[in-house]
Amino acid sequence: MINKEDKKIVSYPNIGNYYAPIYSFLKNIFPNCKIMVPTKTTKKTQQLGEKYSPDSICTPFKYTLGSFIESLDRGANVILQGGGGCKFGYYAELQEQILRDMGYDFIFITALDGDKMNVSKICNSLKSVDNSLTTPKLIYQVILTVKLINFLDKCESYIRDNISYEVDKGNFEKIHQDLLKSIMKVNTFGDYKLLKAKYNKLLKNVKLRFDENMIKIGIVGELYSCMDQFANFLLEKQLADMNVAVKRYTTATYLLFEKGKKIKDHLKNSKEYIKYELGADGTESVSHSLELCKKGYDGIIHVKPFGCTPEINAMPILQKISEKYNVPIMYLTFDMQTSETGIRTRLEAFYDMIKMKSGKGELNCQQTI
Amino acid sequence: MKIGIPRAMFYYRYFDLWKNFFENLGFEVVVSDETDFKIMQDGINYSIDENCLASKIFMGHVFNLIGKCDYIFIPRFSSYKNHDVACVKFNALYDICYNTFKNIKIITCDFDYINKKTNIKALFDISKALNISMIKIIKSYIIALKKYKDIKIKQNNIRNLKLKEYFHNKNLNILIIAHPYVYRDRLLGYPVVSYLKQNGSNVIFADDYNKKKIKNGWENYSRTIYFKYNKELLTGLNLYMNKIDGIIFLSVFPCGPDSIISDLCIRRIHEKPVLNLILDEQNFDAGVETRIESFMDILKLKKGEKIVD
Repeated sequence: MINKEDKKIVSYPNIGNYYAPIYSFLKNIFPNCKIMVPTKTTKKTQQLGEKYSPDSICTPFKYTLGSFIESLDRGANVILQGGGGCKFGYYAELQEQILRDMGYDFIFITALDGDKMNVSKICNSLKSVDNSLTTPKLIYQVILTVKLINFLDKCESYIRDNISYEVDKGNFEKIHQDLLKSIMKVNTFGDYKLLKAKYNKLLKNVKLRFDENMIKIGIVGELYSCMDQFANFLLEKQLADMNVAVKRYTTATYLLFEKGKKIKDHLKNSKEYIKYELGADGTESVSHSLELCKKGYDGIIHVKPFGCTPEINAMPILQKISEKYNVPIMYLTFDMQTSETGIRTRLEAFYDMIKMKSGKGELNCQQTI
Repeated sequence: MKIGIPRAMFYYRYFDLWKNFFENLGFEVVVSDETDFKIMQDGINYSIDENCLASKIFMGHVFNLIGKCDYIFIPRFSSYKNHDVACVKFNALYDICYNTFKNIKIITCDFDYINKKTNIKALFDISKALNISMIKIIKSYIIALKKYKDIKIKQNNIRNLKLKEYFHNKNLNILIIAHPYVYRDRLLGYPVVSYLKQNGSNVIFADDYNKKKIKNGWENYSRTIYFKYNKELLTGLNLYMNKIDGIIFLSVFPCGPDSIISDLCIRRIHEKPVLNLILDEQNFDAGVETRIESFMDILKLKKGEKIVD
């Protein structure tokens, strides 16, 4: 058993760049504990996760389990996990069981019990980790973290919209890395205000040259593969390197605060195709694809991990939309066998196909006829 | 006028109710044929590769009904009382069929308790779609519900007698944990069940118990489960646990809820031997039979019987 005197080392699952705001949150509410940032998802993480997971479970389960095993091996003894709709709410219970069966000793804290939220229970379990935590402090830090996530999303979507237009390549990338580092150092609202002012100015100062001929691609699909750049093999970066303007709707801000309000609008938008909600992000995938088609995007990439039922539900409908609006859709499924080279080959082929179709941009390969 | 009901997925749960309901309204009810290789192949052709086999077979049954009836009945099941939900696949069956098949007429209604889509609203949808007065619809629904309850009581009595006999004779008692649309399907579960019966075991199904009376017991195996159909299976597992010799988890590839819950249960069941059998499009009969045979041999050895070669 974990002794009370032992120093607690807290770790959490990897999801996109949100490791930074989560780190600052945990660091502030647990001043007496060490916070361990999960290592970047690698092939080894995937293999570890795959080895101990059930076969046909969706891929994010395997990624997060692998990252837990790596953290525990590095000495973590408190693990945090979230929860939500579809199968995600059930991850926590099975992952805890698997890790215990493997012989690890740790404290496991879940944000949601199944898909139900129990605020007082979460407060109590967080307080049990660090005695110095008080409720007002927790509320203060939760609000601060929400603001940070909001700001990070805003910056990232600004970068995503404009990175292909920048004059000196690499500026946005550098600002982005600095931003993540500074977010990890934020303690109070004062820090947050300074950070906001600084990075708003920095981002505005990056020189841009707009190009009407740029190919525009929208990304829709399941939240984890959309947001976690390691789970989707740096999809957005690869597209930016090809000089493609990328649009993505799914962000943490959207999922946490806007999804509930907007779901009815999504159904209304796409009532020609669907009558009911498809579960999880399926409805949004359909509605957002329609929006992208109407806005004149050149192509859509639909991403999902293997075994994601809601997105599979959406696929026949996306196919119909693609036929009607004559906009090509590429379906990417990420599983344990997917490799970065494989994704790049498919992206290049997709890019070239769009280019030939629309007559915009430059061809990657030289055509010999 | 003819109403078609596909022999897959929700058919095995609610058919008796809907059949009576539509017959009371004066329609003829047509059911698709028993699953065979052709239906499965049609289903595979009409669905996305990564769908679970049960839903592919569902598409085959819908295709089978086209031309045989005027309307096809595909309701949507999403959530029940106590925050329970159905598998996400059940949420989208209507929309998938509507977008996949051209020129089919579908009658649909929505059962989504959490979002306040109750039975009354579902009936209202049907009355609008068929242009029949609400009073007539409710009347026939109440009559159908009464009949459905009678059928359930009859089934309960038959089952109780059967179980009494099972627990008294010396045969192996094997519990099958599977959704009814898997174990009652002619192509998927039927060969497994009939092979077990042929070789002298008593087959008990985990979802076969009095659901009105027994509502607890699943907590012993899973704390946070919220999939309604799997919750029922776990309740059955808890109920029969002490009276059985072995457990077979029967699921189709790639079933999301089953994959998590089977794995969790196998980790938590220590006292009884477990076989996890996953069916897919490729393997039939021979491979499955070998696995069941050796599993039965293990159970016999454990019971102290001699294996006859």
